[in-house]
Amino acid sequence: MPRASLSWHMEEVGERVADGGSDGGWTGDQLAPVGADEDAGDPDRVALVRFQVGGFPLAAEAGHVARVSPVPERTRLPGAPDPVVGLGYLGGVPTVLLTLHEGLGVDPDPGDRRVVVLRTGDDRPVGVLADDADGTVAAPVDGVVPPDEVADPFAAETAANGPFRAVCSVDGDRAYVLSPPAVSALAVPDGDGS
Amino acid sequence: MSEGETGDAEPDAEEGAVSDAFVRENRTHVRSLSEALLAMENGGEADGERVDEAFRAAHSLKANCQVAGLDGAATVAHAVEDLLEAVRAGRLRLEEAEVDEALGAVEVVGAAIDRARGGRPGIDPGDRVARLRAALDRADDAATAADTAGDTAGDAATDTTGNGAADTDGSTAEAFDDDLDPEVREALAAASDYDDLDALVAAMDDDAEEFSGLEGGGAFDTVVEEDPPSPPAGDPDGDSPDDGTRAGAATDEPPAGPRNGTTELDGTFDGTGGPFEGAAVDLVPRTVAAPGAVREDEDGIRVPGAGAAVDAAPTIADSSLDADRFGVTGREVPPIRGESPGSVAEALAPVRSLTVERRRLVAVLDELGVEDARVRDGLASLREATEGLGESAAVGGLRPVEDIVPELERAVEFAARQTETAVRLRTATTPVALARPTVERLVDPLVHLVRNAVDHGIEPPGERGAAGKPRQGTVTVRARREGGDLVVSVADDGRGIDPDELRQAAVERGVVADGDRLSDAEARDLLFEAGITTADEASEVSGRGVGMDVVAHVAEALDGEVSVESTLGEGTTVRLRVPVSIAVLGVTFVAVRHETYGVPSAAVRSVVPVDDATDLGDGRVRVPVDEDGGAGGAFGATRECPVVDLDDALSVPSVPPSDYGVGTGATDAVPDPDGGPAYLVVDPAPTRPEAGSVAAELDDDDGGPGAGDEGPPELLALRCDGVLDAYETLVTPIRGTVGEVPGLDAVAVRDAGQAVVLLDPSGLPERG
Repeated sequence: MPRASLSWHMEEVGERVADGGSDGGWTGDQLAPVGADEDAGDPDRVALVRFQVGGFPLAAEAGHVARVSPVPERTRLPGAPDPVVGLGYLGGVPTVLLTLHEGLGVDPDPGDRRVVVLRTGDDRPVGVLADDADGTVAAPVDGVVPPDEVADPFAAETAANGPFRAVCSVDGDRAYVLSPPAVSALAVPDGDGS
Repeated sequence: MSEGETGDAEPDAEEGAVSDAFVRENRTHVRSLSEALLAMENGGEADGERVDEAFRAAHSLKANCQVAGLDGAATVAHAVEDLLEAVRAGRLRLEEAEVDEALGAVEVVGAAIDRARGGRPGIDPGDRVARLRAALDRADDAATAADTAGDTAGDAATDTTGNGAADTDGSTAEAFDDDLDPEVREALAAASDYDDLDALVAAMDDDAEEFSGLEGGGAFDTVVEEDPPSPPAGDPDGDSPDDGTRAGAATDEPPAGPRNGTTELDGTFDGTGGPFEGAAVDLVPRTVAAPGAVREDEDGIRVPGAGAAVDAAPTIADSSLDADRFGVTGREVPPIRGESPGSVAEALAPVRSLTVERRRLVAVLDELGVEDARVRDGLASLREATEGLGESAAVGGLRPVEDIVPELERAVEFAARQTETAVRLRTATTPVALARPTVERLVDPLVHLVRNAVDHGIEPPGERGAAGKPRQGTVTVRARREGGDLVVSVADDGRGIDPDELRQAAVERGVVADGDRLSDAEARDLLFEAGITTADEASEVSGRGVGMDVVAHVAEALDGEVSVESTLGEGTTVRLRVPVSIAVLGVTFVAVRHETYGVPSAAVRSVVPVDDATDLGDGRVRVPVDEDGGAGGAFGATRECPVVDLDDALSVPSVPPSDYGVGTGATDAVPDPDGGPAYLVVDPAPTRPEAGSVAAELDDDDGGPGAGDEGPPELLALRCDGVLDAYETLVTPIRGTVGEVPGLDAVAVRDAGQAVVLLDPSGLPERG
């Protein structure tokens, strides 16, 4: 399992991203609105669930998102890695909850807090705490690039050092697409890849 | 009416009622065997894997029917096994006639199982067995004729006489293809009425329904749905396609066409139940996404809580983008699926959601100061209903591991009788209930293992006496939960396995080359290869090298593993380790400051109030406990134990954390334990049996190698702030949630809806 580093703390990320849009997020004009097109499953567009952590715009492939839920009651997990803030039942399934705030170097924003539950390849659902969830969008594939192909060197470095698999840009706005295996690895104690 | 039903009742009618689980399991074998036979016929020749698959199913049917006392069915299954043995040995090639004959026989076995379930008399296997034997005889005759012709013709490769004694590819099958007995042909024609597998199974299920109606059962549908085929590409969630086709054509006619469940129907679908036009209709059972799960449908992909996106690929890998560029190389989660359909986890998930959400609602109402009696009554009713739902789901979806024991006892009894071996079976199983399919799938391999142990492992009494062993052999079965796994071992104190014999058998079977150098361990692993056996000849019990093959396949199917240890002259131990996704076990809940934790009750020897213990000051305490480690100390006995301060070991914060504004809910509240601070005296080996039990005796006298006398248990004293309560509850191994965290074992939901971490005492740091 790939293991993500927590060294992806980038001080200027929040500000830089905010430069791209009025509030650092996306608007309906910038991404194709849900339901706008006629045929389902257009391979030239990717369905993404977008959300924010401390103003940092994130996204996850919709096919990897089990649900977006209110934050559940949390039970502390002694000995779990730092990003893990506890365990909660979501959809009847015990789900490890983790926060990306520290890794991203951002502070929590007050907002409509949610948990974005990622389904990972090793059957461990992981809930990522989000300050706000902005719904589902369909992003054209020409705006989705892997971290090492991002033209903007700053964004490329940010993407390369985080648990991301892609950067999505639409009309100048940018969001970092989480890699489910990399996020899952954050919940695994060092030395345990099982 | 099926042939099985028309079979004559056995004069002695020895079959009695069998369990639903037995029927479900063997239904699966009937289906598997039928499918394999059909595939062999359709494939034109029997590839090794297909034969092995069919062989395993036939062998399992034979063994299970023998154990259940269904002798007639067992005899028929044995005859099918013989037929397949001939195929595997290259003496027989399955043509349509042989396949139909075998299918008819399998149908008879299925019918016998149905009859036994209803407590009806068994079937007379004579006719069926005779026909299968006739096919075998013809094959042998043809082989003999071919050999003779070969001898006569020297190196001539073909039979130039045109008599069909041998053909150009060396096959002998055609030698008897035109030589079938008319009665056999008639019987085969009757059997071929069910020339479609689905129709055949449906016909069998009709029988099953008849019986289930008598019993109020009806579990056969479960069998059908247990392992649903994968939906076709492009329709990953199994929903109806939106192009005008529809699953499950409304027709009373048996499906015609190919046997893979797909057929072509004429007509046009007008949306009102009319026929289809040129549509390929998939008739296989469909996977239905769990409620609330992500799903794809005609509106695109829909994520609960986030809305839907149409006209877009659900993942990068599904889009026109090159997945490799994004590092998507291996298996990731399938983009659209519900939880495993039909699983107990799926059934219990919404129940747990209800429980947890009810608890949250109570907390909010408390916060708001709502005291309205109607609200309280409603919540009480909701709790009662939720608990009822949970019990129903658990009862239907879980099965105690110890349920396997009676089947093992019957298997050992049968094998001992057949081999005239003096043997006793001893068992020690952890009191735990697992997902029913997991337990039921373990029955087959364990039956094979104990049969093999008796048939091949245990020596005759005279030989044992000469070797200085007790004249009676012992087979020991243990089952225990280890973290997220169930570990079952079958040990015998017999002759052990000679790796040289295995090497030789493997060379003879062509599994390894003559010059290959295998270690003893590698040689022993060959036991799990199909057809490898050290038995000189097959017996009624075992010896075809199939049983161990079954063990390996079941382990693989359950995502587990199997290993074998053996010492010549001392015995053999085979261990099966399979992961468990969910279990019910006894849990003792304790308070540690403001947090609550659970400890498996099987590990708890006693609860000692802190005031009743003596702190020795070196990280150890002296607690009253009897010499066997059990609760009591009735005669003033004490034990020194290392102490684990749960407060320190679990780094419990002095105040509940509230980072990120997420309250800790139930753990905010200070638990209210009975009594004060206490030591929970535990055995860190979680399945060490109770003192004085048979299992405890086994600990002192384990039959197999590698599991000798473990001595008195080393106990730990877990200091907590009090014991809250103890009861059986549903737990989920934590490995499936957050990886291996030392000291953490599983997660449970307390009856009030609180998620609680279960501790693994062996992983906790001791004081000092």
